[in-house]
Amino acid sequence: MKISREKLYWFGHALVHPFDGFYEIRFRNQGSVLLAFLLMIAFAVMQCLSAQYTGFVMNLNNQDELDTLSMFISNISVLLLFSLSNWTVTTLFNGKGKLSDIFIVVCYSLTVLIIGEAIVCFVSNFVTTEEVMILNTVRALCIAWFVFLLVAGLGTIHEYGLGGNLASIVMSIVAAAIILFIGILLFTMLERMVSFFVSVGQELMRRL
Amino acid sequence: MNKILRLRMLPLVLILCLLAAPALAADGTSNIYEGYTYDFYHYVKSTPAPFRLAMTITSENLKGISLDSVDDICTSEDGRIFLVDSRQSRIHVLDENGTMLKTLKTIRDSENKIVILEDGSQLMMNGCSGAFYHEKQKELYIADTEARRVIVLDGETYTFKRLITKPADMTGVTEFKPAKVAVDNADRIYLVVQSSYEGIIELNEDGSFSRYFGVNEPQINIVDYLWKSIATDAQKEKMGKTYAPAFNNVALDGEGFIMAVTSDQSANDRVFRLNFQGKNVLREMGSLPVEGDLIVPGDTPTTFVDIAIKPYGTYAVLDKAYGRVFLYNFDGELLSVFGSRGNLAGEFRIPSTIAWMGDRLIIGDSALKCAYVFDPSDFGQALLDANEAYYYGRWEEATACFKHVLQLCANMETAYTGIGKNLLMQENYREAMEYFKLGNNREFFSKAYKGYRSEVMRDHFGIIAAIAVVLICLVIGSEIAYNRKQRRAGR
Repeated sequence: MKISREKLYWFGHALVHPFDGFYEIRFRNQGSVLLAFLLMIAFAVMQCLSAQYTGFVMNLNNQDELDTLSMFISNISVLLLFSLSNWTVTTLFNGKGKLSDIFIVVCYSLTVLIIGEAIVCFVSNFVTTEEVMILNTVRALCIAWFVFLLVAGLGTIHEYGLGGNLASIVMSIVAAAIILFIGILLFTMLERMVSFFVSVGQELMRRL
Repeated sequence: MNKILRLRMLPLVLILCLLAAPALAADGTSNIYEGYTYDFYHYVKSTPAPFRLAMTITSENLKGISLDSVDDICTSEDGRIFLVDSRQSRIHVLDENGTMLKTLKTIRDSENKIVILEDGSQLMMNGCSGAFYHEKQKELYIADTEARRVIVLDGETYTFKRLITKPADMTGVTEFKPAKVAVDNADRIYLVVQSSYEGIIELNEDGSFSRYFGVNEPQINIVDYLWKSIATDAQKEKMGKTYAPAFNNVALDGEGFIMAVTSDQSANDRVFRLNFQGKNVLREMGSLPVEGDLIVPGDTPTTFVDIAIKPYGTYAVLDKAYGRVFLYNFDGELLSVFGSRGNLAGEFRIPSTIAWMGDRLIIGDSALKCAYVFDPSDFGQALLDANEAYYYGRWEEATACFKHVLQLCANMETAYTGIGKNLLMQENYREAMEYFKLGNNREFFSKAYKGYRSEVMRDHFGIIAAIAVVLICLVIGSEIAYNRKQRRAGR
């Protein structure tokens, strides 16, 4: 698998011209799932790095109990869960985007966050409390740009208007909660079932 | 295999126990008085006990007079202890070793005659529940609660000086039933009336009414606020009012500010340092607010009933709910907590009052009908000395004391910060940063880092400037090249 030069170009284009870029990605097949996957990994890694290596002045995490693995997994699962729930909602409401398109939009948009977080994480090692405000502004700008990319991208691939798009995003958050609930339910039921069969087995072994 | 391992471990464990035991005895004395504190991440960190029981004052010390309650304790600088017993309506005066000097019930004048009031009755205390020794005038103020008056006695001879009754010009609905009393350096008298929502009563030197002082703000509940804003007047009548929480106790700090505590859970603050306007100016620079425990074993949160302040601002607050004593420094950083409820010597049932006598703490218990005198342990002494030296700006001494504190307990974040502050003052930025990091103090770390950064910048100015110049040249160069290219393409 290789990411073609053209797809890379449209990736860059989408970051600054989201409507144009994501249109090409959706309807002229210029998106790369592999690139999106790599970006997702990079984002999760960056989150772990910033929790650990952000300068002392800005870093309020207790370094003694930082769990990088669970942080990594939870970041990735949030992204996957959102993609999935958005897909389940939009297929019901005439969304044109496929699951792969949604995943690509989400992960491409993350690029801004990755870059922003990297800058903040590095520079925060050289700031005093008065200058923390500047870095917080940078962070806030990155988040705003990320949200814009995400909303614009999802709207483009589903061919939604702004209202419908925002509604679908809210709905997909609700859907994510439902998915989580069902998942937890399923696991607890499974656990009970397994323990039931185990105890039946034990009883049998003792009696025979 | 397992058995052999266990047998081999046995002597090791024994040796460890032997090693550990004297370490505990040297300072912690016993497990009842283990101390603890909270760290930056609000985890409980154990410390050695800062105080240990030295002496118990019971009715045995009082030559047979029964001690039925201990409602207030105050001390004088020359080492006298005044115990207030509201059930017996007596005040006992003891010296620092717990020997009784005098007991007061009926008040006598300088000719040793019982004072006769205007209505012909003898001046006898009636349910007195507070006392204050005014160092400046050498006067003993007694809040005679049930009789609704304050009695002022001479501090040396305990003879009658004057009587303060309800001022004629007093406004408000608060009953004049003074429970606690304090007098500041300008001889103004502050009276606490239990469950008064109007604040502390401030009287002038001559006993005339001045004002209500330090109104306490209740917490505002958003839901209640919403309901009240849409309710009609008739509905509001039925809803019940939100009253300002009442103060429980007052004391004076070394700078002449009035400090007060409240046990009302609806209050915004629990500990107050009131300025002249009555605003709370308590310093809360620590990582947690001055509200006592974050985690409690029961349902009731920490309930502060009394406060005692050293001249250098370190204060001890007494918690009635769990029998704990919280030591804070003048910045409001929690130093250590000790004490518990129980039946062993030194444990409390209903602790009611706390006072400093030098570096000793005296704590009265109204249910056990006794007063405990606590001596500071090595650790407690080091804490007090360090904060005293720091407060008065004796940096070298403070550092030495903080280092001693750290030898006894490595969990003290305030001690690391204290050493760091001294290093910062000496412009030893690099080491100061280390200490602030250990003390988890980001504000001061940033100050030290600022100094360190400008030092590095100054030392390596040549290289930094060179890199900056090269970068600027590169940017300008690329701009020029780009422009030329564009122009050529345009042509």
